[in-house]
Amino acid sequence: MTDLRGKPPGGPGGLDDAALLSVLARYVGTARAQGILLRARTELRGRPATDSQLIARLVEGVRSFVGELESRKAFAELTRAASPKTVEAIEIDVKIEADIARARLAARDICMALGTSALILQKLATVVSELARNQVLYAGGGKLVIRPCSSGRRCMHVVGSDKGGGIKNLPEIMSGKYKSRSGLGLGILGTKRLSDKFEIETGPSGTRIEVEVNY
Amino acid sequence: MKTFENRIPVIQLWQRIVVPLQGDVTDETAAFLVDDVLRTIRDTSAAGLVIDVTGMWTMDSHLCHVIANLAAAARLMGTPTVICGMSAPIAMTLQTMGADFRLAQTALTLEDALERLGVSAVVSELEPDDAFDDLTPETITSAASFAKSAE
Repeated sequence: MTDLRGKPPGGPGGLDDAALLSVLARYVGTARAQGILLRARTELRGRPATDSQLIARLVEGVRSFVGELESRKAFAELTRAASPKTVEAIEIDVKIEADIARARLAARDICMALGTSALILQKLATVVSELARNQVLYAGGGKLVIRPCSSGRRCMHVVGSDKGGGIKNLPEIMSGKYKSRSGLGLGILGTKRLSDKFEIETGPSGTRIEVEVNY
Repeated sequence: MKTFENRIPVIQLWQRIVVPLQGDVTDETAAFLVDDVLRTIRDTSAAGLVIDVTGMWTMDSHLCHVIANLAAAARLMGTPTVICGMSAPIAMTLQTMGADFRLAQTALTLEDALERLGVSAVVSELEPDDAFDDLTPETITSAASFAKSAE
């Protein structure tokens, strides 16, 4: 992700107006964007204001011109413009059933922070849910790491690893002929179909699945 | 354990059953749901079951399997099932995965689903003026003062 901020964080003046304006302008046009920013700055003048207070004011301004959904997107983009490195890797220990829900909610959070589309959010949440469920059901637990891809590529990277006994009938599963006792037999195959890059290593000492979803 | 949080309402409506799924349905909640719904079907001899997924933010293959199984079990009991309200991103995701919902019928909205199950609505036009006829400034004031005296 490129750093849109011109000035160092915490420096005088706080956020870079140009970066914020370019985001605002995409939602409400340049003239209104300038008005919203000017008003927010004026209202907060003379008071110690954090970046998030300013962004909250800006989103309020945007909201009077566009719908709720758009303003939420604007919020995500403004947050990103303000601090390009806020989205960091999330690591989830998956042991029990409740962790499956926790994992997919974490996937949702990361997508919302990155401002992805609803479809990508859905894909990633499903991928994470499938990986986590397999770990709980067949490997006695495992670990998931979700993070944005490195080197500025617009994608998300998920690694699921466990120390279970490995997947013995992988070819059968991948051919789509397999029906599991707890699902449609689509956990791994479905994950592969949903992802843009899919790698699997499995053996008696555990399984490691690496997935990328572009956005 | 069955608690208030992991229960999903099972609504009886004109001899049909409507189940609105919402938010994040955990495996545990889904298991209770199947139990609740099948029992309600038996107790009420419902003529149809609607599973409304409008409020769900995600559906994975396990939940699909649970719903498909529920529909199949309901059919064994003689009750047809219609699933409605699937969002575009969920539909696209399930399609990409290759999930199969052939065991149940699907409909776009709750209205369509109920129609499939033989419920048709007669909607009479509501004249806005009629509905608010009583609300003249005087009646509003007297209602307000009545509410005050009742406090």
